[in-house]
Amino acid sequence: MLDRWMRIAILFVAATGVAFAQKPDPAQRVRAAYRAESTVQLSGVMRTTSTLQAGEVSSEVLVYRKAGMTRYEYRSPELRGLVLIDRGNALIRLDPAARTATVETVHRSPVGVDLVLRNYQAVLAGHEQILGRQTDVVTLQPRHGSGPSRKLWIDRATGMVLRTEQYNSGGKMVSRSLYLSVDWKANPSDSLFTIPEGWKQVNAPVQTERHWEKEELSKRLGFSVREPGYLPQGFVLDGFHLVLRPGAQPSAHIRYVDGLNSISVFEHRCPPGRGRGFQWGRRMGRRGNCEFFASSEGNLLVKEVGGIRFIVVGDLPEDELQKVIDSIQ
Amino acid sequence: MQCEQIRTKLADYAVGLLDERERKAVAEHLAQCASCTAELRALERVDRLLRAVAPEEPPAYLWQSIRARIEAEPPQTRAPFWQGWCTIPRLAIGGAAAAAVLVALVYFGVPRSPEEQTPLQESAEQLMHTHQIMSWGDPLSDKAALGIALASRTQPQEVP
Repeated sequence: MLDRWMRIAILFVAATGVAFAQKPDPAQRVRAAYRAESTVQLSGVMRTTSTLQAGEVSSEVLVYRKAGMTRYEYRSPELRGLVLIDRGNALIRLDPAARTATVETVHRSPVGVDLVLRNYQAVLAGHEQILGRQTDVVTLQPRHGSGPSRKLWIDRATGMVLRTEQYNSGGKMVSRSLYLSVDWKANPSDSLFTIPEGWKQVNAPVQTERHWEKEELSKRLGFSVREPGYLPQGFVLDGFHLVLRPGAQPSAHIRYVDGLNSISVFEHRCPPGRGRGFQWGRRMGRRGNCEFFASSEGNLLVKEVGGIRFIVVGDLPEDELQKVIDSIQ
Repeated sequence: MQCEQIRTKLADYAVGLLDERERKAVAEHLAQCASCTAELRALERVDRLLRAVAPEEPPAYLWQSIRARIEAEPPQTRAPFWQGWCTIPRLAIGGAAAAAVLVALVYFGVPRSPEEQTPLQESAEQLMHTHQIMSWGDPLSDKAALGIALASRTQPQEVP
């Protein structure tokens, strides 16, 4: 009799253990997804949609991943054969019509997934099958107030994100991507991650340079670069950068990040003339001493003080953006 | 009809745009006038040549590159005011442009005065691009979707 009860108890404990073992830790799944970005090798077809100011743009994308590099081949007629190659520290854009390769410097944020998990709560929302594989559905919700959120379908075996949805701080979906097929055994050729022979190489019109020291950047620009005294909770300094734009004043770019969201503060001397000349987004009128612009891609505030123009950009509520720009002394 | 009148209708005649009465009048004239017939043949040759050229796909981001060039163009010096009043077609074009501006003003709101318009290089587009490109390297960003956003606003150009 005792033996029978003992067996039942053992079976119960074992079943409970299995159930717990199968329930993955969402934070660990997010870490696995982050690691997989640089380790997984594959080729596949993805469907991606981005919400821009002009409306939604969707495209089928051929994706090749190898050794931390990724190639995206856009199949949508609107994008006319666009190819992007992410080589880690550089983003190469191939334009087949003009046979040109535009190279942009990509700055990798020194903060990693730890900051994401510090500021965003990872919650296991369920499990789903994608392409016959088990995925854990994990949502990342802001821990402090409003902010963007993310929903990730993370492959149980490899950590690859097979589907993702991004929402802005207003809760509106701004992008979604889903793998339609994956060849896990693919070995993409190295030539897929280089500029084809005979193509013209051009620089991107806007160049962002490496991290600068604040004093060094101030000296380069000829004015004292200022930081905001207020930042929304969870944001940390990512770095000081120099932005060079054709025909425009060089600009300081101070970037703050919280893991999924970022705030950019641009500072440059006012060009001759009185206006601000911004052509982006919908002008929402004046807010105190600032001009306010809004777009689906974020909000933007501009103010001028002492011949210096300050521009704050970010996916933040208007009042938060206002506090940031007002705190620049 | 005189040759001058006929020649204004030859292009439409060649592509079949004239009504029956005009077509008949032109055909009758052509039957007697070698000069206008030669003119018609020349027009037809041009038409054949144009049709023979395969329609070419415009290069990607053509409009962006045109816009970049327009923006880079220094402002033109103004012609004397009286030159603009010389011909009626110019007035007509001016009138049409003014009407378009009026419609735009009603639709989009009144902009600031001309001296307040700054160079387009100052466009926030570039700063927004920089803001976005920096997020390319952020953890777990949806790069495939971000690529669409970046491609829609970047304008490749040669930098000396």
